Amino acid sequence: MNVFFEYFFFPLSPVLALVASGLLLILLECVTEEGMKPLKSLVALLGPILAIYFTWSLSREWPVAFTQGLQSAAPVWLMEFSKVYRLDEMSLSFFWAIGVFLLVTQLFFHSFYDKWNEKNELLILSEFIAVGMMLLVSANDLVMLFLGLELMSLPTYVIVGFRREDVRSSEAGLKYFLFGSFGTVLLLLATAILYMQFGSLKFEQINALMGAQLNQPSLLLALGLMVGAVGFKIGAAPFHMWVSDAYEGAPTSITGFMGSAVKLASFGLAIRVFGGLFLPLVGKWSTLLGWLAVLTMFVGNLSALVQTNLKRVFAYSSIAHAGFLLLGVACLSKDAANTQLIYYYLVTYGMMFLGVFAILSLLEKNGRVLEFKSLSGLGFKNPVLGIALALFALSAAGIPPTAGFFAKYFLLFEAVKANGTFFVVLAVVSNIIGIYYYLRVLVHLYMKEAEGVSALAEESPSTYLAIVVCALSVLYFAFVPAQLGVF
Amino acid sequence: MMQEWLLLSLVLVPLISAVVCFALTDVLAKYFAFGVSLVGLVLGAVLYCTFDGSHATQFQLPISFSWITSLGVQFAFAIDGLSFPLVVLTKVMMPVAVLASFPEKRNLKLYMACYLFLDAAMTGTFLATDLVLFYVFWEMMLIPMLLLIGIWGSEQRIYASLKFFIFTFAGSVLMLVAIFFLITQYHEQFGTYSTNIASLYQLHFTPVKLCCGLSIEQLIFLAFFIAFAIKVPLFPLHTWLPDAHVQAPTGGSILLAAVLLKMGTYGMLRFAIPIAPNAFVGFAPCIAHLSIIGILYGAWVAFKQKDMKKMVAYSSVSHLGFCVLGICAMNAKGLTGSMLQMVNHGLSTGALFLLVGMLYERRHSKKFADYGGLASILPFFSLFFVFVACSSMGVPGLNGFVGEFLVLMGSFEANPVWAGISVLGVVFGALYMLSMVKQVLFGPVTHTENRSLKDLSPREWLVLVPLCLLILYLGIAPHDFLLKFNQSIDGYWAQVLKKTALDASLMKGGNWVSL
Repeated sequence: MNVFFEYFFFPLSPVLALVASGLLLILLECVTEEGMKPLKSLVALLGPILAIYFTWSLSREWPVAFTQGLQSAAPVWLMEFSKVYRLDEMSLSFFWAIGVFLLVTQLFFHSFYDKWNEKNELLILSEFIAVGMMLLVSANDLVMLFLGLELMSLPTYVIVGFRREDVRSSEAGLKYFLFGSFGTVLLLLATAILYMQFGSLKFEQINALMGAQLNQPSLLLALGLMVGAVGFKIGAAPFHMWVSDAYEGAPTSITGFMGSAVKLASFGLAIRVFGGLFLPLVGKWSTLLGWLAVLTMFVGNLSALVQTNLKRVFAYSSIAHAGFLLLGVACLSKDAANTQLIYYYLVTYGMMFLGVFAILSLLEKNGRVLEFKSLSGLGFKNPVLGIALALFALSAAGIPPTAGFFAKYFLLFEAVKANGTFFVVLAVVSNIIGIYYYLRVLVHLYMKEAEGVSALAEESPSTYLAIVVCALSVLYFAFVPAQLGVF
Repeated sequence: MMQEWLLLSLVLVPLISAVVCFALTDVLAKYFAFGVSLVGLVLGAVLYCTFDGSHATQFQLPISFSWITSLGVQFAFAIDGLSFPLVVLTKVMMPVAVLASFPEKRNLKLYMACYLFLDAAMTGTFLATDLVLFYVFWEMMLIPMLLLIGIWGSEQRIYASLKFFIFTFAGSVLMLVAIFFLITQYHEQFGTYSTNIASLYQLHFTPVKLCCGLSIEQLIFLAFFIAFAIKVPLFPLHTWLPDAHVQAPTGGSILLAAVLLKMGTYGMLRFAIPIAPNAFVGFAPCIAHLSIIGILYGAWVAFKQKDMKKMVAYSSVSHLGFCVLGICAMNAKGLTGSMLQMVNHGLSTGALFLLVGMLYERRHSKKFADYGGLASILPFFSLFFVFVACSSMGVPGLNGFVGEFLVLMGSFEANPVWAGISVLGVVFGALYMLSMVKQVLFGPVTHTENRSLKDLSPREWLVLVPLCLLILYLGIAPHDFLLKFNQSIDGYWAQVLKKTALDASLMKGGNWVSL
């Protein structure tokens, strides 16, 4: 029993907590007729809270050194599920972030709770999405990777198309589904080729065999397919077409969850694939990813310039951020320290993104169209929202003293260290372009006269809580980057 | 013990007060901000007494906390002869700017919070002895200035504020890349990470050409220099300045002219030149030529203006040209003049913006054509106006003369032609200032509505008198003030030259250009 607990239950406990809460929600849905919303919300919140708690106790029990890294021959701790599930410091820190993102999102999920969500599908599905994410970032096997990815993606397609009577939402769901499954197909094809080549699905075994045949054409084909698959998932150019439509059409709070948590898990996939599986081929992919990163930044920042819909602006902004993150992935090497930098960027960016969409969902709830002009005068009418949104915009633009600056700082510094100064110069040029639309947020918040707009009538304490938590973390992590396990 | 906390309190007091501002009522915030800026002034006075001018080359009153240890980034403050005059200037101009903003009615809480935040960021920029910390403060300062111009400015305010922000930001992110490069270079040469200024001074660069026929050192110098030149602003990067100045509210204009522009020259002296001295020696003639063009061009364009604020803004381009020229002369006289000119320009241009703002509050116009003959209606105002104009054009006995004279002397030693041409800038200076004085103050009263204007209020006396006393003091007895920092100036070029391949014996009256 004890052994079972220690080697099976305990390592899986964050995942199991989410599964349990998801199943319990389904059960509650069957047992109870109507109402009991508070109880269901509580059960839903309990999932991520327990997941965070178990992650914390796991990291205390196994004080593993991140310095050992992804590449180290003996991963810090491997579970005997025939080694498909890998628990190291990277998965632990990603667990933590997934739990926090889910928790914060659930605080403002209810902004359209009553209208479409009679059966609580949203809460149930979000718990299972998080399970998929956790399995994805801790996968050590190509099939596990695929399972995690699908468990994450399928419910996401559903909740993107959640506003059933809204054409845009259905369009977004379908578009996301088509593009997403195309990416998954590429992943499967790459898996098949790798299995054909090496007769194994385990990362270490493939890794070990890969070193001997670096120029094998089929291997390069698998690498190319994998770049496509990861590119679709993280929304990197030229695989970014779905991002703006899916982000715009999805219910506002879902967009927040997609831009933060789904993005985080997708980069977890990117790190596992490039920083783990394909690491011996680093010479083949790092320059390619560098160029893709620069392309993504420019596409994102230039497209965002001409948008007027706030959801689309931040969708394109998230493409630009994906470019920065991809530059971080391109700099991955045997030195694992930059995984932490990507993680730091992901968390600070995710908090920013969640905060923005918490604010937008509040605006939407008050019947505002999500255009720039509906922000006019908000800064003085609702000071808390104004300051928070200004802070998020500055953080996204990478201006100190916000965490967004330090995230960019660490990442770009890493790229300079990896002899990518040229890419860094291009990255900051794209950042200069991007500054304009972030400043437009400030301009509308504070500098434009409000046209007969009053303060927001309908308040929501839990949404405010989410906003304040995001705003404070954007400031807090700027001053103590060590708290995120960086440095 | 107390002294160690002095520098920290110079930054933290306004920073914390900025947050406190939001908890107050509008009227209370106004007086609170003024009180805080007076506290800052007192702290500045304490600093003035504590600072030891005889050891001005060394960093004094250091205080540091570890921050991002693995990259060697520290939260470190210290002060030396280069930053001392500018910190004192900041603390002197803060109460002036806050007091000048008292007539504003809209959103006072945020307005005052912006001033205090700006105060903290400016002081931090001058005090930081860590390159990354410097950069953080340098960028932080953009936010309150953006809001000051954009919310409380005049009609074209949004355009001007965005232009200001994007210009400065574009320069500084390229500087950021150079900072990364420096840190990696330091790591290659010394095996550890450090962003401390003193350790970065020890860097040496290989003369290998990297790209576009430029060596590493030259590229680093250019990245730093362009960021600072935008801030100064040096011709041809000055186009944001007239817009920002004209649109900014009075207090914003005062701080922009008095302190923010000096960050550019300070940055050159603190970072660009000592870190990449060989590159500077190579580029110095080129920079000097640009600054001479700036002096003449700024003065000429100022002469052609019909708007008072725009004229003062272009006169800033001209005056800051002198500051940069003094640096390019690469001798003690030029640098002393340049440092003094920074302070002088802060006082006199700050005072000019203040006076123009007072007129604007009364009449809501900045056009010359709407005034005329004010001397008979506003005698005291006119007295101050003429006094400050004299200071700005460099009349002997007032502060402007001392700085310009030293700069010209220094540049004459370096290259007589430079001095010969740029002295024309002084002549033009008199031309545009006097023509403004003539059109605004003298002649017949052409607009009858001007007859009912009121002369200075007690609040306005309170702002103007101390400023004018300082102007007079620096004009008559600059020696005391100079003693506080000229040590560091004497040591400055020696330190820079030690790094360059140039022979130290050439220091005595050598002609740098022909080298």
